[in-house]
Amino acid sequence: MSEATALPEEIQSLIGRESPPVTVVVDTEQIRRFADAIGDPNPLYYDEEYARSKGFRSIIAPPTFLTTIGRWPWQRRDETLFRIPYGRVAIHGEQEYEWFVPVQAGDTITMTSRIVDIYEKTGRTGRMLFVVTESRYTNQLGELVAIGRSTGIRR
Amino acid sequence: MVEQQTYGIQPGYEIPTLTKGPVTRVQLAKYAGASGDFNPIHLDDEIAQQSGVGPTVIAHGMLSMAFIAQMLTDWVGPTNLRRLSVRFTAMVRPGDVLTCRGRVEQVRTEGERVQADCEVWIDNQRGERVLTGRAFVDLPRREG
Repeated sequence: MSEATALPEEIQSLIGRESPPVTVVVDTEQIRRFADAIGDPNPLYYDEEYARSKGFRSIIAPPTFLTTIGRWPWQRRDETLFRIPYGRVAIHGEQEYEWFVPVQAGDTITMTSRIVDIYEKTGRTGRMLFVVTESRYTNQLGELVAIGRSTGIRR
Repeated sequence: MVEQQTYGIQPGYEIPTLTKGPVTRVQLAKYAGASGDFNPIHLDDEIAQQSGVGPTVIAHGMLSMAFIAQMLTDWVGPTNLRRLSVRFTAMVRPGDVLTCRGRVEQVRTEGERVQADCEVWIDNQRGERVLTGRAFVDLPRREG
């Protein structure tokens, strides 16, 4: 059963912490590589002419492509910002996305992430720390592209 | 009339199934390279074991989410997927064959839009549930 425990101040104080925005230019090859890696053959992800015929500026990205934004070392401005001194391993527990506008090749996507909650639970395998991060993605037109909510579990 | 308003989709409708896999180590390497997620628990057996997720590497949770998203976008198209929330309930390993399924729970009409609230899940070849979730989609208009 879960038992509420007071978290160390250095962890508790991370709630509300926001990352500086990360800006990434998305190109056709990044999208195609991602679509190929997940094995999704939808022509909207590969064929520019077809995508334009459907009213898009270029090919569009599969919905979960957003997960690639900000993952690369050169895109992170401060690696220590979200570093949490807890456990040996971090597992992805839950993920949610709300989509408003598709990511299209040529877009400049800006992501801002914020830790919205941190809590500890005791399960069968011992104590676990849950970290909920919310990310907002906007494009070069100022449109809100999507909102992501991710729950990481550390143990 | 209701039929027409909801394009024939009613609560209980089963979304066309999508089968993915077997998941291979090559796919995990490709996914790491395409996503930028190089966490070694997805690529290195030894580190997976040391981290307590062993005996082998595990697939990226986001790969499973991509699979269930594909089931939904195959059905309604990529721009009609409005919201998807998932929980990763069991680990996926190389060799696993994943069956993505879903069922419409509720259909709502909001102005011009018809939206469906769906339960979605993925089972592996042993019948273990590796992902559960909820999706909210706009139902595309039927042509003709």
